Amino acid sequence: VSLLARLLGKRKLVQPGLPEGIRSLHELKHGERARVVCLGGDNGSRHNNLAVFGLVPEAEITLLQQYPSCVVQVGETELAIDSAIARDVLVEPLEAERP
Amino acid sequence: VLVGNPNVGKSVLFKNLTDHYVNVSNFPGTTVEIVQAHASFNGRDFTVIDTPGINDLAQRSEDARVTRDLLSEQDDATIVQVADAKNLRRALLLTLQLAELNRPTVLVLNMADELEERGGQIDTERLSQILGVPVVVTVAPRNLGTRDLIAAVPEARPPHGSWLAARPVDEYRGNRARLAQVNDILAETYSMTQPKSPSLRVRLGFWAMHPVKGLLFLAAALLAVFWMVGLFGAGTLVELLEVGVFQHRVSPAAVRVVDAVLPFPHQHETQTVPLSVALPVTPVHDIGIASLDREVVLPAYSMQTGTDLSLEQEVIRFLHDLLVGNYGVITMALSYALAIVFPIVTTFFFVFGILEDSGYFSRMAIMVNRVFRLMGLNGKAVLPMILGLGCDTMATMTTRILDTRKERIVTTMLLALAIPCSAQLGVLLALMATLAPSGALLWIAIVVGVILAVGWLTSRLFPGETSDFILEVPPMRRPQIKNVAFKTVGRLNWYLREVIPIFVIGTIALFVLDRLQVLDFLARLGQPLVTGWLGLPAEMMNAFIVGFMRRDFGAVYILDAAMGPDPILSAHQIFIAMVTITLFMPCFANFLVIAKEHGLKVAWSMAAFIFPFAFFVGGALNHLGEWLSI
Repeated sequence: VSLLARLLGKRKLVQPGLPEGIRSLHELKHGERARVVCLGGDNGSRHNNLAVFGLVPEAEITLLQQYPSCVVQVGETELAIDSAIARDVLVEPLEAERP
Repeated sequence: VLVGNPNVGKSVLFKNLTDHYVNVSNFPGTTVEIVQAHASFNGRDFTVIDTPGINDLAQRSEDARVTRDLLSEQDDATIVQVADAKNLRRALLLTLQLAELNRPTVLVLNMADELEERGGQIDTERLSQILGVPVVVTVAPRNLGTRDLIAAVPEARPPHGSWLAARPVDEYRGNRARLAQVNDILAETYSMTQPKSPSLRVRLGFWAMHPVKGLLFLAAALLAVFWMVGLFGAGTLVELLEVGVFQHRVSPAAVRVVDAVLPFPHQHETQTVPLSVALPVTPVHDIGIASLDREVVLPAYSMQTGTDLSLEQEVIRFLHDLLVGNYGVITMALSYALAIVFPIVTTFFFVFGILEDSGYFSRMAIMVNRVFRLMGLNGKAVLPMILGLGCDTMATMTTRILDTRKERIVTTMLLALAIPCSAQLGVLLALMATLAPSGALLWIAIVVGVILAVGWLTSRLFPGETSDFILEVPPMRRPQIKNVAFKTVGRLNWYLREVIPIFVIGTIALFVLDRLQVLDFLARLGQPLVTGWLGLPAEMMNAFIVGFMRRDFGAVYILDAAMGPDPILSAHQIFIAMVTITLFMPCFANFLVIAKEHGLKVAWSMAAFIFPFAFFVGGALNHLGEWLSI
């Protein structure tokens, strides 16, 4: 994680080199499931604000919509987050299991 | 002590336990302070304490401070943790944090019905075993399980020892470790069968956030609010109370009583005032129900020329005017607060309560977040903005729910500048009906444009952070009329206590200004501006001055000039006047509330910006219109 966090610090520069299969939450499509890899940014209080809603690394999420704001489902919580935050969150898409 | 995540139903449970009503809604963060009440069950007396919802008991987080302080004060209290059964993961995170306090605890799994609807099951016995505390299942709004809870309270035990092996480096890491343990617990106790096909309510919830359907939803919601508040409340009910009760009955009676107690030689004017009650359909069409004409005594009076008043009589006259004069406390302040604003805010609070309980506001915040970003606000600011359509003064007070000072200032500014309150909106819409549809659209475009431009500018000029937009989306629910009614009454109670004194103070200030001829002076000062720059008749200056004192009155004045017996305004002039009066600061009460919330300095600087700006935009439109010869 710390390696990824370092990568994130220079996200704009290194983004093309992100490890295989890792994407930003912002690029996820409607209905896709994914596992959170890293919350990104270096904002501790934001991390905690997301964590208390269950959005932490390893959490499995479903993207509900991207516009006008990003809405994800974490467990049974629907959580709306700003697109700017969604851009920082890195996820690993899971195989489509949804019907 | 009831503790738990936001929006899990602590307050409803509190009500079930104590029969003491507290404000309940379907929006996270409704309870902002601690409420306590006594209750007795099983022959023992208890004090039940309701707390604001918290997601995190961490040392740093400001939201949790109130609850944390309370828990350390009440060190022999039993903790009743209320959890949303469908969000067990988040609840257990809090449980593990609470466990570190090592206090007797009961875990309540509320909203069990919604969990069932979604196809989830919780093995409560196993959960109770793992945690070492009693676990109770409830459905609070239907009062199910309250008995079980009461029975479980004496059984409360401290949870099994500390769950954290090592002290965490920081809160975030601690919470991650706790969440990992929560996952282990969940694996043993929680199972989810294939959910049923989404119910209509769930789908409705999605539509309300959809980029396209959401906009239609938004339009429909605004239209409903507008009809209920702008037409029914501000039209029918105000007519009934303002004309039917105050002009016909209260104020003539008050004039007569005051004249009897404080006599001096004068003659009040009388006039026939028609009352017509109708059910509105559109801003200009309605279905008449009843009408009544009545000859009444007006506050205005004349004295025979050449009458000299003794000093004593002058004092009596002063008191007379203070009570029942044109700017009198009874004839203006009370009739304004009780007969005009009161019915409007009542209908508004009612509609607002319905929207709030349905869970729509969070979705609205999602819809507008992107646009609000431009103004340095986040979607949460939509709540005060919508409230502003009811009463700007009240909405200014609710800006407290916003996280940073910058957001509070920008929102207050936009409310004062460009959000027309319901009292005014009704009149503006009637005015709009006299214009071509293009004129109405242009008015909307200009107001929205001003909101965006000024919001953007203020957010650039005013330093500070915009808080992160992270908002839980509550499920859509059918609002319960009883709860909405309770809430409306609660808010009205608050309104009567907080806002009416401000109206009375404002009226007294106005009365003094009028006596000192400051109003006349201002009118003369402003006249060249009105006639030259805005291209309006000189009489309109009075509309603007009165408009600040009572925003709806200013608009009524324009309405009179536009559609009265002898109209003096052209369509172009109506349009200019409409825009200018919309951009004015709503009313004197609003100014006082801004001063109360943000300090006098902020209030003055806002006024110093808003008034010239309103004239500037109005004048610019006037000249642009003439130049384009529209």
